[in-house]
Amino acid sequence: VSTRDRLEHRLPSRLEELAAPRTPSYFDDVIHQTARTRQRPGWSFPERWLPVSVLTDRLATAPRAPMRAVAIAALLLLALAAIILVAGGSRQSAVPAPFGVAGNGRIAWLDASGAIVTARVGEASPSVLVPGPEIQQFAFSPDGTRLAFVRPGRIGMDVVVSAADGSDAVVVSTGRPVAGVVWAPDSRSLVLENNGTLSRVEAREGATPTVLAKGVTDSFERNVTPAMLFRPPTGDQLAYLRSTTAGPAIAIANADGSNPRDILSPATAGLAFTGLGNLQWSPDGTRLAVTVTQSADGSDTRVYVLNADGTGFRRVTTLERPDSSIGENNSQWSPDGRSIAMQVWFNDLQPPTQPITVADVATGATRAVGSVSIDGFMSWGWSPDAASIIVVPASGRISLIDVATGQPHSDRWQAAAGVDWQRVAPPAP
Amino acid sequence: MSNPGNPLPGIDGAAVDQRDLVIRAKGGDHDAFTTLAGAAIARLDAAARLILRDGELARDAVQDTLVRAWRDLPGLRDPDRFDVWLHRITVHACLDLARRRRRRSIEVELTPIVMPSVADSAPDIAERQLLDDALELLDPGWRAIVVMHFYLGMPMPDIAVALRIPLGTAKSRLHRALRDMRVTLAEPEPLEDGMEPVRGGQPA
Repeated sequence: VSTRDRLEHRLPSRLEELAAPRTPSYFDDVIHQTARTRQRPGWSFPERWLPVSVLTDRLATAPRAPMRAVAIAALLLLALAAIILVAGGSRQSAVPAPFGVAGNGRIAWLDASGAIVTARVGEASPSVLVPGPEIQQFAFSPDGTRLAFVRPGRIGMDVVVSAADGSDAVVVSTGRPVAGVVWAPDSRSLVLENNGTLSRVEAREGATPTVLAKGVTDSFERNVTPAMLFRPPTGDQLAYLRSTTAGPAIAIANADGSNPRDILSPATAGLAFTGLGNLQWSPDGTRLAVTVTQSADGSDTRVYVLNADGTGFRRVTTLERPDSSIGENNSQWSPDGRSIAMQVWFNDLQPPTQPITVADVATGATRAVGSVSIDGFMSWGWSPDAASIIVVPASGRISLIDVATGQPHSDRWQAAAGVDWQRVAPPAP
Repeated sequence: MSNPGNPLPGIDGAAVDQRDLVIRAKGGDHDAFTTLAGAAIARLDAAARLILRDGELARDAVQDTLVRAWRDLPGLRDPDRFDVWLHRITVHACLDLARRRRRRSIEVELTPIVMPSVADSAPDIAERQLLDDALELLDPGWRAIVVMHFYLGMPMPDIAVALRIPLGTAKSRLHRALRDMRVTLAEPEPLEDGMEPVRGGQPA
């Protein structure tokens, strides 16, 4: 029996001894507390749709505006906008389109104090962008001009939006539970996710959220990009995962949540599967990538792509191991749409973790880049210019991988959680 | 792990089926929930103490767990998954508390959880203390996986689902946690480097 066996065999009994189970003295207090707590009704849990959005109802019943006055006002506004564009257009700073390749701006991450800190490639000393503590999640807007972050409020969580440099912060949502935040492509509104409900809210103080969908099973807690929800190039449609009685499904709806319909389910896929995850639009909006779990124990997970109408469902890689099941996860389209990067595990090997793997979407050819992090990664993602992949391994030491050479480089930055890379206008050719 | 058909002592002392209790509690029967909670709380409290290393924090985590469990029980689709579901809520409550404690940078006095009995031999006490030290040195997230697997008896796929991480990550973290514990326990084994360079462009 090896030392490995001995430790693993001893652990259950030793843990029993370390924390001998006993009914704690606070049991009655807890029971009284639960007796005073109302149960959530079964219908309020995920897997139900909002029949009609509140907004749609309100619009449908609103009195009609005088059309002539509206037309004149619109013409005046257009003329004013044209004057402003002509007069000040040359002074406006360009911003990138919300999807696709962009220029590389600042890199930001959460440090151990719960602050957002930032640096540019090559800078030795990061600076604090937003002081902590306890910031949970953050993301730059797609145009790179703003920053959204989540922190505990007096009640529930506060969703805060500021300029990209951390100034002019305003609380957009407070007192509500929030598990994840996604920027909308317009960089002026956010989608908040909690317990399977998606709500859209304008990124300003006191805005009222509008429910888009319920029963969503995607996780928007980390490595979140707008393309995980909004269809490029305009964001006019949403794609998300939901549970159905037949199993997990990919649903598409209009951007306001209306007209939801499933485009892929176990019944239509021609493939039996038990789970779907990491749904993401391609940068041109023609396809979706999704991880598909076929085995009941979740051990065999592969990245698939499909067309926006649900057709063309196929595996991306041809990775196989005779000695192990394979987990392909956390897939991310490259900003140029040519590749999909993913984390790969050979589940039955020790250790199972493999380097980041980049797959050519057209051919399925794969190559490993960067380094093995035995504990996997806390966060990772493509640079806006598609030339690098930034990774935060469990050690917290941020590393940049040159995708062309596969070589990692570290500026010795230390992160405690997620990383995001600001998108800016591409440099002039 | 699910516990279908497991007889539990009811509030009137008669043995009752856990699945039946879960179904009744889902329907709002608070007495049924009290029986379920009474059967589970000792283990939840012990697991929380192992993960958090602090009795008061463990109490907060278990209280939060049971209030959430009662509130959200109508949303539990499979009554046979009650135990796994409850363990998942407990571990999330523990990790939330651990995260907040770390970010607030408050130095909490850790409560020793090793309580030797008079019957223990000196080597036993010494080894338990070493194991206690090894656990304490782990990141709370890794410690949670060790506790979920070796104390709560959860299979790795259930742990991966509970923590919303891929199975490979769960296995890697357990592997790494055990490796670190062996180092503390002075049980050497060949160590892998955490960051091994690989050649770029190499077919996977």
